Amino acid sequence: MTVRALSPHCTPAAALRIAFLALTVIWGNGVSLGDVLEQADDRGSVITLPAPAMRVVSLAPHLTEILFDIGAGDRLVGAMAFSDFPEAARLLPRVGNYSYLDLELILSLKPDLILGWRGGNRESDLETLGNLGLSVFETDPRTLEDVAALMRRLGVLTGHLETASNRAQQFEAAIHRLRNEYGSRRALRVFYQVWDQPIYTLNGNHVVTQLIEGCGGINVFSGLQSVSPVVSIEAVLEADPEVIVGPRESDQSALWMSRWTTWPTVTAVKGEQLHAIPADLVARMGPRLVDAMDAMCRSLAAARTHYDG
Amino acid sequence: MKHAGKNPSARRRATLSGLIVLVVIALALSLTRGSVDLSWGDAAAALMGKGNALASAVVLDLRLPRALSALVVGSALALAGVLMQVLLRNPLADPYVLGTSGGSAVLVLIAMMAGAPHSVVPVAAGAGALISMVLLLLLARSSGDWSSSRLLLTGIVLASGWGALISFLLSVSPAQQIQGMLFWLMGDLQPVTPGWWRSGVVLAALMLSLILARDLNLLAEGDLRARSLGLRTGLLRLAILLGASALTAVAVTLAGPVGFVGLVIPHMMRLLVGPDHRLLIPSSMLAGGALLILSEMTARILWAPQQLPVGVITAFIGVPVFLLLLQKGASRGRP
Amino acid sequence: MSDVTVSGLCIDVGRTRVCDQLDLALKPGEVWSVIGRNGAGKTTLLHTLAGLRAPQAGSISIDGSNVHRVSARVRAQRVSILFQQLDEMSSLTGHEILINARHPWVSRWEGIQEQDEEIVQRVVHEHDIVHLVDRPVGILSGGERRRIELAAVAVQDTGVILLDEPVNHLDLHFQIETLSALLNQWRAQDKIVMMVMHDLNLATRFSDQLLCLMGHGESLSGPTKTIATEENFSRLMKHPIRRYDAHGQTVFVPL
Repeated sequence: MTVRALSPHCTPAAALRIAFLALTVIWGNGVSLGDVLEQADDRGSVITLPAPAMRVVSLAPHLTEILFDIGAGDRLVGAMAFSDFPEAARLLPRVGNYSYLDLELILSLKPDLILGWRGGNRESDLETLGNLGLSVFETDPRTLEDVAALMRRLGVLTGHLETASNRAQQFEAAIHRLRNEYGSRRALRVFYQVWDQPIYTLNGNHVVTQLIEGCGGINVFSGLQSVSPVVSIEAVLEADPEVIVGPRESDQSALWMSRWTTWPTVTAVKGEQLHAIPADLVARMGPRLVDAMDAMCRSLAAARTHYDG
Repeated sequence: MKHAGKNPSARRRATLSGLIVLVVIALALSLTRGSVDLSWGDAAAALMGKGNALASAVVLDLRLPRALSALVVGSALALAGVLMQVLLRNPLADPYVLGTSGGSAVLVLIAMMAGAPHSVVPVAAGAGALISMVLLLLLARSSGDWSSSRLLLTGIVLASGWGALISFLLSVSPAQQIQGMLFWLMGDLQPVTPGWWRSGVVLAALMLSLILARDLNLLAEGDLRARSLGLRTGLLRLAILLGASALTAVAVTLAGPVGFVGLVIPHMMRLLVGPDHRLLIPSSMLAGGALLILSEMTARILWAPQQLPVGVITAFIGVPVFLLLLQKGASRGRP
Repeated sequence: MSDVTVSGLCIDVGRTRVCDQLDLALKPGEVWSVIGRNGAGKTTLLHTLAGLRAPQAGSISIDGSNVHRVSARVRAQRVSILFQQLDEMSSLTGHEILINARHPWVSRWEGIQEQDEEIVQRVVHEHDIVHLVDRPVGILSGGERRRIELAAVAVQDTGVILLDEPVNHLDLHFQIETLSALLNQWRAQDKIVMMVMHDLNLATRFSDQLLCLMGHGESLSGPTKTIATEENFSRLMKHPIRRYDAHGQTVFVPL
């Protein structure tokens, strides 16, 4: 999917506004305008709402973030555990976590739309909710483009299409800018470390590879089969990355960095190019991926300065 | 001299009636308690089809199927435990000791790894249990020795083999799937009704066990003695093995390997009602069903909105109760 | 009235030959003792006679039916056996064990009848074990348990009774009194009793027929008066044995 180049500086007159709405709605694979809202979710099921959703339950932290971002945060009546951004999200009733959903609680909240995430919710739970007669919109975003499209689609369902389109445009523009600035520089070999013991990394199918490549890097493990494989230290030594990027959890100094100092043969260690990025930014398929990419690009730029002078 | 002082069949009837009441109370509690608290009136109305929408959905679609499943699983495991203990003449025997749950687990984990839809899981569980049983029979047949100790040893080795495979599968599985696998392994009720065929298997096993109850009493005295009293022990033991495996398969397809029930309920009931299988069998099934219904309810409530695996709760409830009974039993003289 | 015919019986245990082409006829009212050294195969012989073990060759008929071909239930109605040692796992009470012993006579569909309970009660009183039967046998002494096991055999009410070391664990008093009372009763009922006995003197005292397993398949059988000689017993036990007569009793004493 290509990044659309609609300029965010358009000044909408009434007619332009309608045309703008029509364009973005059609682009967002939706049929709208009128009483019924329809969207196909990532299963291929078509969700039909008689009116914009007023009581939404979000079953993933990134879906919560997106909803707040597109101005529909007040529509949320329940959220998954770890929905902690923005601050207002912490006040939402918790309906479950990655192991279990409290189906009774969800029922009692009387939602008219449930946002599910195939990567994190149990298929059986989503199916049960569907069988109980609730509208379940299953999502499965994998790329930056998917995230932008998701913002628009949720905009349709919540009747916040205009804000959503704006935000999506800004998202895309920011990504585009970062790519332009950093993407064409000399490719650095990057190792992204999700976890320390054992060492988990992410392959080419994960969005982090898009971030790395957009900032002018190469994910040394992009070719591995599993999305989140465990790799041995030897494998990392062999790949000899120039930069190691890992998680920064809240304000803890990253312990994983000090563990690498025992392996000075690795280029990244020798060059002291171990960088930490807040884990939530990378892990959540939401609007803050821009921040993640920004941090990633700055890290790689610093590394580039070190290596190339 | 009258045995036990009172009319034994009256005492039997009283015990069974008491246990049935316990099951009914457990069911009633589990239908009214949860994240959404309902009154007895609401629940009753929902059962009769006249409740408000929320109560009906919660009671009929969420709680009732789980409670019925818990009843089926608990009674199946309890009966399987009774049968295993008389088959192997070993008080440490539980339904899984001969490897049935290991086989189920391996096939379920393979299905999960392959990304199969969750509706495949019960089928995989059942197939795994049956494969394990067939393997056990083949191994026992080839050695020619069907004695309890040999069967137990063969089963333990088979279970260990499955265990190794399970560890292997867990270590190579992608991180996202491990959580689901672990929860299945801890014993977790599927959100489905038990269904006709499962209930049918459990009822058939109950009928058959009651018919054979006196034979089981004899078998408890030892193989040689039972044969000297006219029992065809070879056939009987094969029937017990098949019955126990079928029951375990039913339980595992509904709830994964829920532990503790099959091991401790038979012991508990033996302390309470004695070793006569005519009474031990139905009381164990009722007690097992009640325990699992209450455990399922607690699993939903204790840590809400998070749900705990049922297998964890059965142990937490059962251990102190069992210890209490052991103390009382020791003072009365029954080992 | 039952009778037992053994023809051409050959039994091997591992490489030990217990008996070779053994022919025996047991008549109603007879009390037999099987004696021999340890490992001669006395228990194995008893188990074979009970139909619990297949012989290498030969046949055993009880009341004209081959004991290994008849159904297990019918066999259990014709011959009962008291084992040398029962396992420890028993939370069963004496009463439960006695009721179990009625199994060959109880129809599957009708269950225990009143007459079965009556038989059990009668035996309990006759054997003087009223105070023992309501407790789990696991907590009884060896002797008390043995008495319950003997009662179980009586309850089974068969024409042929096999006892493997019946007086194990019993006090001397019980040994003499209980056993002799039982044997007299069974003799009067024309039953056939065959006991494995460890003690030569008890064997000669209580039985009118002897079967000596000499080892290597050789055996000697016949009336006690004829068989019980110093020479036979010395050869049997592979140790010199002297016979003493005093006060109208005969005893055999090892030198």
